[in-house]
Amino acid sequence: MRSADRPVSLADERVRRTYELGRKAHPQVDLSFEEFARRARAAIPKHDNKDFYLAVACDAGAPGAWERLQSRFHRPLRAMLRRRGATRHDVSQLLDDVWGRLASPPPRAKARTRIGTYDGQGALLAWLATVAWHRLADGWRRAAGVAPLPQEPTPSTPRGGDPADRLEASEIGALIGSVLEQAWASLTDRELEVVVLKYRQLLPQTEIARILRVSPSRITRLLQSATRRLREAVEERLELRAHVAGAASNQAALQHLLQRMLSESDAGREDADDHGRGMA
Amino acid sequence: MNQPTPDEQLLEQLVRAAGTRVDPNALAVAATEKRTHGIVRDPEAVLLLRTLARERGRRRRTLWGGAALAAMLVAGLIFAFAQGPRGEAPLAERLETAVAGLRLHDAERFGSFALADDLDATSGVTRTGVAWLAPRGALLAAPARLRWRRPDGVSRVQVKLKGPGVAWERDVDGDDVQAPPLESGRYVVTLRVLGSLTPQTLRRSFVIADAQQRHAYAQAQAVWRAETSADLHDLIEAHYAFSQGFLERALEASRRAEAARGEKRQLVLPLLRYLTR
Repeated sequence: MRSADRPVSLADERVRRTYELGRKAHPQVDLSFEEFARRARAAIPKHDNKDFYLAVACDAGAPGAWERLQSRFHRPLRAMLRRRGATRHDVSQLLDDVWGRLASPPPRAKARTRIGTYDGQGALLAWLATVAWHRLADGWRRAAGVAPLPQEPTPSTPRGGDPADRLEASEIGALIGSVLEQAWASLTDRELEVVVLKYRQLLPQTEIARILRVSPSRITRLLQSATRRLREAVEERLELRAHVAGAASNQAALQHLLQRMLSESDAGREDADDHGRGMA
Repeated sequence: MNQPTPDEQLLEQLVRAAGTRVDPNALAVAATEKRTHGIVRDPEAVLLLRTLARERGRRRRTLWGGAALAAMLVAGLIFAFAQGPRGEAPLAERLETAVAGLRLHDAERFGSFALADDLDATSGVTRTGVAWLAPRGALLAAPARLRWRRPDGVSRVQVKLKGPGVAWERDVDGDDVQAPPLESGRYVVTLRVLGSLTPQTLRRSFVIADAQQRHAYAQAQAVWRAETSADLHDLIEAHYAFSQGFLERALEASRRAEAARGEKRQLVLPLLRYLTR
């Protein structure tokens, strides 16, 4: 409740606006302003986001909130998962599992449920799509007998350490980032899909062929063309910037940069573990 | 086993350099603001961003395509009425016409209602693990029993049910158990196989409709009973309940339609197979 002698801050105004937007978009979900403000004040979206109200209402267990969440996002998520290779049968079971999982407590965050770890800074559909994709990929890994991935996301920026090291790391990180950005952008959807399933999800090629409903030889050809495109994209960039790493050849420069990047992300991961973040 | 080539090693290192798992909040920001925050160095993030963009494009196209289809359907109906009465059309055609008529009659309730016609239940995968059978989806009333299928060689399972004001747990020998009294709301059920060498746990959720949702369903039912011929009621209910997520209700109506045999049975079989797969 506002008191007469306390000025209304910009943050208060944003909480109020986000609440009103959410109420208007989801009139069937009833959550009081006080309850919303108490839960949302720590991470109020910087931009208008009418679905943040819905996520907070789900976390608070407001009547009708979970039903609204499902009715609003079930179809686009189903279509997204189908596009990524899930069968109709898998999608139906997977989404049941995702809703159940979102309603359960997260491992390490303060939120009451996993959906409470949504920070509202981006679209809720994209957030849900990422969570659903993780579940789909985890299922494929389980079925193929591959060890599960760690639950924590990879931190994007290193923390701590010497300022000069941080500066160099950020320069190298920026260079690697721009090289990788161009490299991945040069791949077709199918090639990207095969690369992710093979090198991120560590699935065997026969399993990838089954998921994508193509022959194993087609997977081999897709990997070959992906490798060729990546090499071309990486070499094109490193010819311009090889001097940054002080190495003689593009291959050596790339190896050097990758080693730095890997050690940097390992350090960042340990740092993130110390901070104990939560994730859906 | 073949040794990886230098190019394959490079590819592997590039993926490894990107990290291990996409942060959902970072990806949501990237998808919304078109600012990538370095997330595009991760091929998995690039793949998800592309998928979301393609899906947005498809939905826009579907919206415009749907509007054009509706206009053509209305024109077709006007033309059909202008031609005057004819002999009895096939059931499938009458069902399509009845659904289109419901959409025109009550756009608020049936505006998005369409027959489920792209069902594929022929994957032929025989699953031998633990499976949850009922209840599934949304229910109009509290379920009497909870049902599942045990894996071969396992006799005992643990069932946990959590929901509004309910935290219920039982160890059960068999494939079903009487459900506790449940109010409207969302319930998460966890099924754990006991005494198996490999741990198997399954989590599913279902929803019991509140009074408002039950009322809305009853009103929709009253509309199709009043506006369509009696031989179509089971088919319409099966498809309508399915479109609204009332899977158990859709199953009951599908079984009634199947029992009628003939053309009606043929029409409902794909949906029935999908619901019982």
